[in-house]
Amino acid sequence: MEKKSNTMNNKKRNIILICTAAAVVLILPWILTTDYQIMVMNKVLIYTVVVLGLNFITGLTGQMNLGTAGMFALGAYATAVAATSYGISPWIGLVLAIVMGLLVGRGLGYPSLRLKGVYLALTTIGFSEVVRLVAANWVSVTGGTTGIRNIPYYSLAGYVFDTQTKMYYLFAVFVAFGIFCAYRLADSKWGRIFKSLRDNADAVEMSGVNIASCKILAFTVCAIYGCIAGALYAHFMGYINPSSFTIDLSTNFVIMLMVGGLGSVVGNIFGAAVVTILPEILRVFENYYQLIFCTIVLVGAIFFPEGWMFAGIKVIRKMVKKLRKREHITGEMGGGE
Amino acid sequence: MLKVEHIDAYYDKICALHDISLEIGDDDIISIIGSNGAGKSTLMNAISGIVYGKNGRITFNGKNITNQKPYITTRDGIIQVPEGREIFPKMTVLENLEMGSYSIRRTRQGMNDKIEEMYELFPKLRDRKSQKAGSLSGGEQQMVAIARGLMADPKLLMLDEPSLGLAPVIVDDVFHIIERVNKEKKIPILLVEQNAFMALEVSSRCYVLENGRVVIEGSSEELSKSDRIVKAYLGG
Repeated sequence: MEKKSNTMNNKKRNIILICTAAAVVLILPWILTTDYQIMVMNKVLIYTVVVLGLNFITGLTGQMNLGTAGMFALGAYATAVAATSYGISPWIGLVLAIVMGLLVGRGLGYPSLRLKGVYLALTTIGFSEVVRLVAANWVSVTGGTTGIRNIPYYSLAGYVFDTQTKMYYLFAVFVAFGIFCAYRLADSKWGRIFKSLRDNADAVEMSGVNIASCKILAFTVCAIYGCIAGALYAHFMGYINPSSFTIDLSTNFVIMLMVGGLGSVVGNIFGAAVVTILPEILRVFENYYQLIFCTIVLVGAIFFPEGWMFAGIKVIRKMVKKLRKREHITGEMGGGE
Repeated sequence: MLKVEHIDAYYDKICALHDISLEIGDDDIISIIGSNGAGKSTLMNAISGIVYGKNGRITFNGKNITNQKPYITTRDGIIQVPEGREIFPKMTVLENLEMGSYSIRRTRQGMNDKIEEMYELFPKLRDRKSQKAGSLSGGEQQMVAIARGLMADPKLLMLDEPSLGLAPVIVDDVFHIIERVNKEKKIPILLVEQNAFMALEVSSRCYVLENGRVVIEGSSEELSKSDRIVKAYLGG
């Protein structure tokens, strides 16, 4: 009985949380005054999609993937080339990006069966660099280092998403859908297996799990999320070139994941937001802003390895407990009198 | 029900098992004893498909399972409880048990019933169900490992050194449970042990491995009286 009311309460709490989050997302463009601020928010949304995917493989199954920039780039180029050279609608471009993610995820998943730790990380870096170099040198298709210009905006039945605010709402829908899928997957049988793979891969095999197909699935999910985000990015910026998809971008995604806390979907959003917004705020320090940002991240990695958000929640919980205890004691004393 | 016929197994070029044959009947507890490096765990891994065997044949209820992928062997009902309590330390006891049922489709009710069954067999786990499995004591972790194995409705349960690193009192508990599982659930058990005394006590037949070969086999009762065994394994 108690258990039932507990889950009911949890459900109520979740609904309230989701509603507040949705309200904040809806109102945000009215609070933010400049286009520039909304553009930063759009970046947060796009990066959130990538980190949601990365969470499956680095966060849940615990395999280091430093090739997300490559996935991101493939998604971006697939839709950009289709839209500019062949005049294909960005929506079909999105499907192309998903197919691209499917192929890449399968391809990258195979080495992950044989490689572990540093070697897998190096392989994924290699993949990402190959993508970037191909993009830079295959001039006839990708435009080489000059990149692709005039990528059209998304449009729906004549309505063009051409301002930052309009794109913001469009991307918010994508992110909401991405979060929904990520939650469903993380809560499913698969999600549990991903987590147990990080814990003890041998024991997973003895539970009757086909580890090979699980690892490939995790990579595929990650690649699909990455490619979708890349496609959104292409139509958001309107211009892409190979120099935006360097290893810096991949490490940034990993930092987002780490800052948010491995394995948590809410943490992913938090991480993407902090790592995108914080440097913008720190710009007041001009030349030193990157230095300060990196110091903060390093200190965070040492003192809050489980993620900043969880460290914060822990502190708040402790404070609440202390307060309750105090109330309890004073309450008892009052009763005694 | 399980028949191993003339199996060889290699790690690269080093021969770990040499011409091994053994048989497990329907309600038996069979034990395999031997010192470190005798090939006990390799034999178990060859049966479950983690190590590839060369030559020979392994059949389970008539089906040839030689060199079959481990996850398929698990689905066939051969469940291995690995050595050294390979549980999921960061997951709760309950989640560990649920992981065991991966290869079987169950309804919510069926799952709850099965878990309840485990709690009856291991009452301690009920109290610990929402604790992280890594925070349990060694004996409790071994119970989680065995219970997780049972969650898969095994047709044959293979236990790899369940007494490893446990205090003598706890070892008694664990072996008591093994006997109960065999008698109450009618599950045949293949037991690999270094603790020859306990292994001989619970099992009906025993194989002695030395350097990858079966050197002695016979009923456990006879073996526990044999001079050679007493000298080499029972410290007599």
